[in-house]
Amino acid sequence: MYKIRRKTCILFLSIAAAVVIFHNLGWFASVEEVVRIVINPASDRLYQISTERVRKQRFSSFSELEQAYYNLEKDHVKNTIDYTKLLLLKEENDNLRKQLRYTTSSGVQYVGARVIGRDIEPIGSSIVINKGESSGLLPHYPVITHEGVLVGVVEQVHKHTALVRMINDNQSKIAATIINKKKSLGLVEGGFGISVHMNFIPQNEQIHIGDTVITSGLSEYIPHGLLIGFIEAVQKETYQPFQEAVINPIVPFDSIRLVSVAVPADKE
Amino acid sequence: MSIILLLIRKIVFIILSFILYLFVLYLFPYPFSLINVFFAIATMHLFLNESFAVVWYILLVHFFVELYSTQPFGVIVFSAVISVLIMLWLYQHVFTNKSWYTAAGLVFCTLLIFRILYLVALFILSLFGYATMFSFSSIYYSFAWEICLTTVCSIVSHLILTKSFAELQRDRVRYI
Repeated sequence: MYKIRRKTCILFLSIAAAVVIFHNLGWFASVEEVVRIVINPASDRLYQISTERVRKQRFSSFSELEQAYYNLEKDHVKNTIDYTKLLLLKEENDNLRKQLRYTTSSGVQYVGARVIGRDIEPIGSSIVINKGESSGLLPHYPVITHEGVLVGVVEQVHKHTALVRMINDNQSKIAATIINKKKSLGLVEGGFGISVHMNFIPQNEQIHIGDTVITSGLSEYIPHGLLIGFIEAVQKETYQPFQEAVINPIVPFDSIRLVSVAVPADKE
Repeated sequence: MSIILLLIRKIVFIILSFILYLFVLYLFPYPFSLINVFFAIATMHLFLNESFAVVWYILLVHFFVELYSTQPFGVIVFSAVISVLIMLWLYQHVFTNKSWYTAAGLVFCTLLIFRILYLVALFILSLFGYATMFSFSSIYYSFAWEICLTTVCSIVSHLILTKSFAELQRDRVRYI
């Protein structure tokens, strides 16, 4: 039997406030770690099952699968040609650097991690990875997949796990560049479902559908050159100083299993 | 000893309901993945026990949710505790019975209040720089689906549980 009184409400709100304060002071760290140790295996297993289902449901018919296969074959040939050209350019670049005795700044190390969970609220887009503070991770480090595609930024770090905010999260903001003549700069923001928007692109700069968008290197810890996606649509109003582009990310965010976190080499 | 066993049972119940939440979230297709299992369970918990244990339950499960959320810590816990206290008040003064439409009304009102408080808290924190404001239009649909589907889920669970628990077949709440 209960009767709801003002004192009871104040008591419960005080307990909630105490929980928040103790968390911020770090007094609940060990309790939180125990909770994660208990919950993470279940989250990991359920997430693996969900990504398996997503992958199997990607094609609704055999002809769709066949078409996707042919497209992939074409892309493979094109990529092989591009890769060959890249190798030749790299060799030429290395030779030129040697001749100029050019020294590069300290590089980046990659810490591999497995995705063991994803966003737990309808409002966000995030994933949980199984590496944390003990592996040298810190907040704001970029998280990539497929050796060069940016998928998110480390948001919170715990002892053995970390929360990663994806680039399509509504609070994500990444400084980016478009691979066009003028290397237009802009800000990639999420919050629009699967796609992301690139805002603050100067109105007078020419951008086209299909242009590649990469990180500009102007955000702290995020190196230049990480692939974000391709421009799918351009939104331009003549009286506005900036134009917007809709970007189609390269990787599907609902079935990522393995990622790497770029850790600056001097931070290791 | 019995207190320790009771405590263990409660902790196991909380962990299992969190795992159920993850199960629904990861494996159900959109928009069914938005069903808020905690508030549906909390309503049945309130009908069966009529005690403040439901507030402890909501506080603890949402503490777990905070550990996996990118939002500032405390937003979810505070919003959930306030909304469930309002749910208790509504149950005591407004919906004073245990029918299926009471379950639906309670879940609907509680979730609506929870999400409104959540957005207000985020807005206030963004004014002080602890959170970044975002476009609301992208989340209205998610919240609307969450409230509607959780309400339907609570109706279904009430109708099923009525067969097993005599307590749910009573017309009036105990203290009146």
